[in-house]
Order: sequence, then structure tokens, then C-alpha cells
Amino acid sequence: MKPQKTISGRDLSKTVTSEDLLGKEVIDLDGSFIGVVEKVLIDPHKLDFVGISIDKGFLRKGFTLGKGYIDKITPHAVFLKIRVSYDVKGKLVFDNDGELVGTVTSIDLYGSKNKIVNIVLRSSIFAGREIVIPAEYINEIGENVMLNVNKNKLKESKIVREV
Amino acid sequence: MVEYEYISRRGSNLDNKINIKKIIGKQVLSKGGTIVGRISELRINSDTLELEGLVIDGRFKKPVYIGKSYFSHLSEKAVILNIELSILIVGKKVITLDGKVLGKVKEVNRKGTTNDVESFVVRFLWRKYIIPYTDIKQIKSSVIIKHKYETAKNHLWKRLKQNSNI
Repeated sequence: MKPQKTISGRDLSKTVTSEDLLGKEVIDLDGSFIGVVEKVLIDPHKLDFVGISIDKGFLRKGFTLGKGYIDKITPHAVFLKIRVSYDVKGKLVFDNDGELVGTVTSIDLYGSKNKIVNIVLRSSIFAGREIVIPAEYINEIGENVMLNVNKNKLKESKIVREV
Repeated sequence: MVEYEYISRRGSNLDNKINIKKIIGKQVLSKGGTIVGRISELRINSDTLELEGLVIDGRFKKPVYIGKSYFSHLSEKAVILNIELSILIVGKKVITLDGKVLGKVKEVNRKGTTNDVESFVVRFLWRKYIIPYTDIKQIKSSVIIKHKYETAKNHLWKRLKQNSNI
């Protein structure tokens, strides 16, 4: 194949094309496979790459991600700098005694950023009601969510509100 | 509530003291909330009379003993560990630095009986890689390794040639 002629003031040999990106797997900071790149988003005024749209698979709602959260684009995948907060949905929540508090049903984010403000859970110990737990009560998010308070403190706390 | 007759030099306080009978059958959680299994035994040192560890039975091929140095918190509801168990890496995907999936972890080699990983065996179809711990960037949802792993393809015709040379 003949090399294409280039009309540019810059060296374009190290750039990637949208074709290279589309369909590529997206891996977050923890090494979780988030989905595949569905669209490449370009600002029509600045003519700048602004982010990607991610397809999470059949019957799962995709989302768009700003380029600030992309760590690197490699030949096989797109690596992110972050753990995607949306992924917390569906995880089990345990208090600091290891007792199951509930399952995350939704999350409140800080604007359109990746920062969690609250997690909303359907709770087994609060008679099946939904409760909102602020992010400062989260100790660690791994395969599930660990809180830094126990069930009784959650009940007493005025920060926790029933939905 | 039951009232006790105390015979103890340390006073009459049962706070922070757990009924061992209640803890049998309760869950063991890792640092990140992974459900490791259920407690089948608690082991107490007969000389020092101190709790030494617990045994998880059922989930693994063999019962797993976890020493108390790996405990973070003990309650009547569960035991929370201060580690992610390295034996649970088995089955996780291994990704190279350039995002290529190398395969899945088939075996973990640990330093003695500790939780520290020495190396692990990754298999993908007929290929087998032994990756030392020093090559690992992180172990979380997947295992990410520091390098691009490019092994020379050993094609069938090359293998036949090698065999004929022998």
C-alpha cells in the first residue's frame, strides 16, 4: 500500500485514527473491563478530541467519558485513570462489623464528575427501605463496598436519610 | 439478657468479648469486601490460650486456614481480613501493559504459607507463562503486568524441524 501524502505542520506518524479506537476494549484503573469504544467525540468548534462513548454491552446503558479520564491508548485497549463510579451499582455493602447492609441501587455523583457524593441502597436491615449513605462513610470499594461505621451508627445518624 | 456470676481477675465486663459459638458459620470478608467463605473452625493455641486463626471450609478444594495476623476486625457477624487473599487470584484475567489479554491465572505460587505471591502460572490455550511477582503492576479486578509479553510463536513446522534435529 502506498503511503498517504500528508499536509500538516506536525508529525502525524504517532497519531491514532478513530478506526483504531472504535471497538477497542476500555479497562479502568482496577483492570476491570468496562466496555468497548462506541464513538469518538470531537468538539466541532475547537476541532479537538473531547472523549469517548462506551458501549457496555447488550441491554446495558453506555456512557460517555471525557478525555481527562483516559490514561493511555494502547494497541489492544484504552486504559482509564479512574475506577468508574457507575460500577459501584449492584455491589453489596457491608458495615465495619461485616454485616450486610444492602445492595447499591443508584449513586449520586458530584455534577458530571466521577466523584461519589452518596450511594443509595436497598437495605435488608432497614426493613427493605432505601437509604442514602454519604461517601465519607465508605471505607473501601473493592469487589463490594465496606463502610467505616456499624449498623447502629447508621441508624442513629441523621446524615442517613430514607428515600 | 443473661446475668452472669463473674469469676475473673479482669473485672465483670463482657464488652468486646465474642461468643465463639455464634461466630461459627459466619462470613469471612476480604479487605475489599470479597466474600471468601464461611468459618468452620476457630483455632486456639493450647499453650498461650490465644486465638490463632480460623478455618474456611467448603469453597476451596482443601480447607483454608487463615492466621490471625491477617485479621482486621472480628465481630459476631463476620471476620474482616486486612488482605485480599492471593489464592483468589486464580481465574482472573491477566492483561499486559498494552492491553492484550494474556490468559487467565491457573495457579498461584506463594512464599511459603504466607499470602505473598512469588509467581503465578497463566494459561491461554496451549500456551503457558510463569510470571514472577516483580513483573506485576497491580492485582485488582484483573492482573496487570508491567511489560508487553511477546513470546516467539512456536509454529508446528518449527517444532517438527526441532524434533528432526534431535
